[in-house]
Amino acid sequence: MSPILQSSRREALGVLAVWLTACVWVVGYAILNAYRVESPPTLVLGMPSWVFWGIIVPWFACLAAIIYAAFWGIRDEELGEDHADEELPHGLEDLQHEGHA
Amino acid sequence: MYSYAPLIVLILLMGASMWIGVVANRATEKGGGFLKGYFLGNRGLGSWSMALTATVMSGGTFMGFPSLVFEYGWVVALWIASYMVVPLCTFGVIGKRMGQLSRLTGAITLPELLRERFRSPALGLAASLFMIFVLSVGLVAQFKSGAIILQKVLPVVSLSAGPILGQQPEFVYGLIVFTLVVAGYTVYGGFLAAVWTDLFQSVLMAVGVLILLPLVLIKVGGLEAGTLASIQSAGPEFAYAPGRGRDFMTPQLAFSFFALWSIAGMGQPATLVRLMAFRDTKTLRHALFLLGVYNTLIYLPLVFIFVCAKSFVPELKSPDEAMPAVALAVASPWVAGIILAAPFGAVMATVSGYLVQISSSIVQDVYHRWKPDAPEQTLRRLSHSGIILVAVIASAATMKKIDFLQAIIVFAGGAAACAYLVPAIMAAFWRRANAAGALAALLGGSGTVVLLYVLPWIGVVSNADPLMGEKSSMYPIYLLGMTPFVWGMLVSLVLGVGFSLATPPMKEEDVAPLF
Repeated sequence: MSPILQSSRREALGVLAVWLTACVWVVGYAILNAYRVESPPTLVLGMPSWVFWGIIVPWFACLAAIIYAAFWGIRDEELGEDHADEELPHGLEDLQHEGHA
Repeated sequence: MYSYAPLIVLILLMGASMWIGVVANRATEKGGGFLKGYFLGNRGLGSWSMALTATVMSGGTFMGFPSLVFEYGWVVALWIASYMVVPLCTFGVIGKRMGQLSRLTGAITLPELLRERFRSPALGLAASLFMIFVLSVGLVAQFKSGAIILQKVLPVVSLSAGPILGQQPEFVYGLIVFTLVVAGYTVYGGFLAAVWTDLFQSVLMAVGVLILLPLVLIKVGGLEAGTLASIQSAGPEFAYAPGRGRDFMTPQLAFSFFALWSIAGMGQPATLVRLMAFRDTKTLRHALFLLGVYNTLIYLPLVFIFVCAKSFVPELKSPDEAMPAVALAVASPWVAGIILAAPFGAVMATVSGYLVQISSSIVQDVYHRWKPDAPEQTLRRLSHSGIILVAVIASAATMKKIDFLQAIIVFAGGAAACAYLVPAIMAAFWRRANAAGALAALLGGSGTVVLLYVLPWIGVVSNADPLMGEKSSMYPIYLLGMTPFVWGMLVSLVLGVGFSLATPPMKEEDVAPLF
């Protein structure tokens, strides 16, 4: 298996984990707290508390995950030679001739 | 009194776009072959271009979204919440593999990549034809949006005359100007012109939002005062789910939209083709960071602005007027002009991108496959005339009355994602996947979305208001309360895996070089 495929799979699984966590947090918290109307509402930093704890906090947690992925999590890889040219069909035959298989 | 400021700002924006087209043309000509330069920018996209143009942002983002906040309240923060993971999904899942596969196969377009990866001309042709169909449908709605914005800022008195082909003359003049400008710079600059105008308008949007936020907060006396005043004006439901006056966001829709924005964005042809065009993985990482910051600076402030605006802007005849109404209420006409220019720029950039992709499908995936020895000059002429022809047809189709623009845009985006995302993921990660699976995923996913939208539209099932989601004149079928996109993705996934496993695997020598 090529190194880029290995690292891509690992990173994609990491994204899936973050997506699932964020989805459960946001949708779950909303189901538990956003559908009960209070008057007057409880506010945190000027917004309804369900928005603060259910959207703003996970948003910044995801931003932290993005910063981690961008600067430490995602590995730099060589993407390979570009086989695009004006002739058809493209790449695969050339690759086989070059012995990539 | 009529103000020329917004019109002048839009004229400056159109002039800047034409200039960008010229610069893009020079950059395109510097690279290798014409097709790779014209349709893919010689795979040289940098971090800023990737970050601010690879996600789904159209005029709807800066007209439709604020109007929803203004109408339904804080619950729209839940509707848009998955933009917190959009950067990770867009760049972190298949970004590197798409970049690698497109280089290894030499693919310039998405259908070409699928064709080469799965060694199937039928799959390539199906992917091309569906792309031409779905982008053309979306294109008509985008042309209409652009013409409507221009119509709003054109001086009514001096242009007023009798209706032209049943449309107001301001609309027709707006449409003509819009078509000439967008087709003009797109023909000249190709893919890079589309990307760079998109980048330009994204920066303009950020500037507009960041100017508007402090102005609105000062006017209402802070976010807390704004929230309380808006609740006083619109009622306590304005601060809670499912939204003011309607079940805008049921729990099922909350899940549907979390999936829609984050996953559908990954599967858009415009996004996937940019993932074939970035320079290197460092570019991808930096784009991820930039988009994360950009989304935070744009979407959360837009919610704050339009929640607060409810307290000082009266009820509007049309919710789409929320952005201009707020801009004019707190800023000078010139600043309002900049803020209005942002959605117009977004529409121009979207149209430009669609034109390039439709033209690339016609020229590279259909004509060039049919005539592999066609000289570069012929391909160049065909690419240019393809863009002009599609622009003229879409523009003419816009003259017909269309009542449900937003529904068409959502339909086109959802159908495209359900067609291409599962085949793209299978292509990237699953060695056992084959052409039968990819074709089944493409047809099954897109067909499901088309069916769930079209059946009520043609009257086979009732189009009655389901009393949930956004109020519209047309509704899709919400099976079990969820959007058609969720069902389309599910069908696409099941068929893609099922057909791949039920049919013989690809030859090892075809797969091995790519894994």
